[in-house]
Amino acid sequence: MLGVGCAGRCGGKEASGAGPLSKEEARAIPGVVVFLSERAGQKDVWTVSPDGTETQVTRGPEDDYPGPVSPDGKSLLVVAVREERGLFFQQLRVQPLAGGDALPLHAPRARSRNASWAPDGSWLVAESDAQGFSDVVRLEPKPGVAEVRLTQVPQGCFEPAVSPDGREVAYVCSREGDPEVYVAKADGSEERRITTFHREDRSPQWSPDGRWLLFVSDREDRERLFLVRPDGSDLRAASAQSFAGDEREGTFSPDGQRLAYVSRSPDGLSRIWSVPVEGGAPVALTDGAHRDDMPAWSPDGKYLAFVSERAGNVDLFLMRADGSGQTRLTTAEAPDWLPRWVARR
Amino acid sequence: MHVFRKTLAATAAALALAACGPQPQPEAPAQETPAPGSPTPTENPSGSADDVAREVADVARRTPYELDALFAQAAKEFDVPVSLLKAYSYAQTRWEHIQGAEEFEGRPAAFGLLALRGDQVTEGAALAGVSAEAVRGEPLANLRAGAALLSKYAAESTIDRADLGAWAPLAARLSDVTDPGAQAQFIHGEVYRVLREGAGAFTPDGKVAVSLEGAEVEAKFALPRVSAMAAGPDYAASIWRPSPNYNARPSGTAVSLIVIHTCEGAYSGCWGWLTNSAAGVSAHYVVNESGSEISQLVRESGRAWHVGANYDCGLNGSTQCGLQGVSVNHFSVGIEHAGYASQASFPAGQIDASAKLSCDITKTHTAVTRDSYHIVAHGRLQPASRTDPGPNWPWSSYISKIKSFCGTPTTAIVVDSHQANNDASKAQVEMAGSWAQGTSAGYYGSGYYYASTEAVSAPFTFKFYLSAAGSKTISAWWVAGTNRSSAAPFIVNHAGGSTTVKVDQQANGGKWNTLGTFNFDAGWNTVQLSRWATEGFVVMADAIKVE
Repeated sequence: MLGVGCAGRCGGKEASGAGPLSKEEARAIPGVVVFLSERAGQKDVWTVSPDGTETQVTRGPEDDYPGPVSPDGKSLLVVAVREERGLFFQQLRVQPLAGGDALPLHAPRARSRNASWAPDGSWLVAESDAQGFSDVVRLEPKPGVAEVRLTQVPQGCFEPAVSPDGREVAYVCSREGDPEVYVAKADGSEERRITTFHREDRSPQWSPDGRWLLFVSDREDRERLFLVRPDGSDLRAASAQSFAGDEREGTFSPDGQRLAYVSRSPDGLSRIWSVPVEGGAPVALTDGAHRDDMPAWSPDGKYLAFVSERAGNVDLFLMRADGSGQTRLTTAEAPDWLPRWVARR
Repeated sequence: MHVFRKTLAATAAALALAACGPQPQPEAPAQETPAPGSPTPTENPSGSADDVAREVADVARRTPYELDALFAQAAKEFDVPVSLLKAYSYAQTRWEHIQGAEEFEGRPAAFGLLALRGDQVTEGAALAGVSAEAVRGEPLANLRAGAALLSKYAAESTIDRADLGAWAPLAARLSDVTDPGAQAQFIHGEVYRVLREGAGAFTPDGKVAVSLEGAEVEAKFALPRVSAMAAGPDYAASIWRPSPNYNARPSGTAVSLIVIHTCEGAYSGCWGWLTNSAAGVSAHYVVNESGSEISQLVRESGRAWHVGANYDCGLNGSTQCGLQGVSVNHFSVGIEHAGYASQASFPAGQIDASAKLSCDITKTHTAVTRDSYHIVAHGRLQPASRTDPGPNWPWSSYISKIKSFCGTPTTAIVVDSHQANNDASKAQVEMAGSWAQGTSAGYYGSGYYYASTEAVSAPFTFKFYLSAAGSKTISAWWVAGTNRSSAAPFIVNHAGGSTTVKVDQQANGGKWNTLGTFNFDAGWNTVQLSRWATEGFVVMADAIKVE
């Protein structure tokens, strides 16, 4: 092996509280992490508790991608993808986290993904190609209920997100030749356009208090995270004047005060940052010497799960919200990624 | 000899340019703010020197190590010409130690500097006395395994080891290219071409990573068939190499996606594989490493088997041929790119050639909107997928290049009041006096500037660059409101002088409003918003469009 880069362990500078989390501290974190693992060959959903206890949730020949956790924390949306005679099918399923059979919400089809739950768990929205190239549809988490098409745009609408009060849905449509962010009422009516620019505005997400939408735009020639009010005013870059490479994977802390996000440098490494939503200087949580991706806040907002390749494999890690106490959570040789927290009941 | 000197000199010059750009940063403390980003577009207009510098920086990212000594060691140990080993590695991986993936069923993933696959890895490992894991993961072990295999082939064939041209059939055997046409192309057009022309690469520190001096040599190998190469039926800038692996699209299916793949291998092997009926896979196009050549394999009207491969309803009693909307192959055009999803960067020439091709496809198939929802990675599934073309495919610039080649920005320049949103090589803003920033809903880009009306000359200036003189229509965007001026004066400075157009900014907000059509000179031109209007109101500088 050539002696360039990090063979084995690379020194991440610990901000404070050097060393990994103690078992006691980890055990006190009020949640478990749902994630995607490829250790069985295909992709399956697993859970891991902060002290490292792993449980397999889905099995079987399909690839199962973990979607959002239901508001009551009892189940998870899974996008099951299977190949049949050369054709790919996607199917949304509600998977009870306690185990048991998943409930499919519709027949398998080519596009069924990017789901988002209403706050009371009685309905959800997703991308669907059942009646067009890609529409935002509203469906119910039970079988046999017809889905309702909220958009009808030939060029497609994508990546819907339900507002925290359940009254509105934000999404993206490409109707004018490039993606723009829109918000409509939960029945699809009274659509209003939030962004206007001839580059791509994508992946809207609501802040927990509903006062901001976070989205990704390449308007400055690199991907960058922006915040805008849900009426289309006050647009600004989330990282203020500082901009350290393509930004992505932004996520609001549970109290809505901070954003965690990833910046990706041209050499392919990525680094996790945290920044106050109301503005201020971003703080680096990881050292930038590896690929650290997909930050996910614990339910109490005090910790982040994330994905890192620092140990050679793609594994899940944990850290405190200030970047200290970085701790490896999974050790399988196959990739473990896409972490999502579920509050411990 | 001189050819190599030229290559190295050009590379060194570009490296010097690259030194003006991003530099390796000393390790930052764990807690700090990001560096104030890269220079803003204003300070960093893109130009050809910039592109060369970027290209060199990209190559350096792909060859971070000094590899000459490793090539020499492996070649000497197994009595193989070091130049052949280097040329073969260049043809396969551009000297990047790659971690391949399986792109086509039945074709094992390629690994390392030599892109060894499947049985070659285990056999080469045994011959070199290392583990298969080392052959996949360590550059020297990979070179030694490949050299050992070549040496074994040489012993079996009793060639004259001193005759560089005589190694050609052995290099063909080491590759997994079996199609005779693709083999001839691989040997003559790739391995022996680089042997003749030479090549060089630097590490990010500016040290020589690999040097290969050009030499007079002719491959002792069948030449490619000398028949004239026909152009692809849908893309004249391609070579038609028809694949039998396709079937009809269901009738009435509009093509709405372009799917971007990486071959997980070099160009000749890629189209060779995809035109082999036994492979049962195909794509519409394959773009080579440098972008100098594109093969068309399947007509765009046909359904290629690039996603999920080989379901052929004709082979299944013509059942389910009409499952519209269930197979991505039904409504997509697939483009393969020579190279690997794991590679550190993609050559600018390859991205340009591919973007021109994608532009052409979107002109024929207008349901393909030029955005990243319609031009997608192989197997894209939100959230994040890890399939080809990998994390380093330059999506943002790829999509914007497609738009640019298709004429979107050359027919229209948008000048936004927010400087960061502008391509500073053709759009800039300046303001005199005090203009305040506003962000009430309905603006273009990221907000607007406004100023109260008064009898002063302190305009907001929108500047745009024209490479040639011409007649252009100017439109303006504002956010309407009752406190806006009903006669906001836009001063258009054109070839014939200047014209003031007064607009009512109390109405028609949130859309483009035409100011008129004017003749402009080549170079920088300006449209100014003056605040010299009836007092008690504000004027809104948001964006203008030139088309």
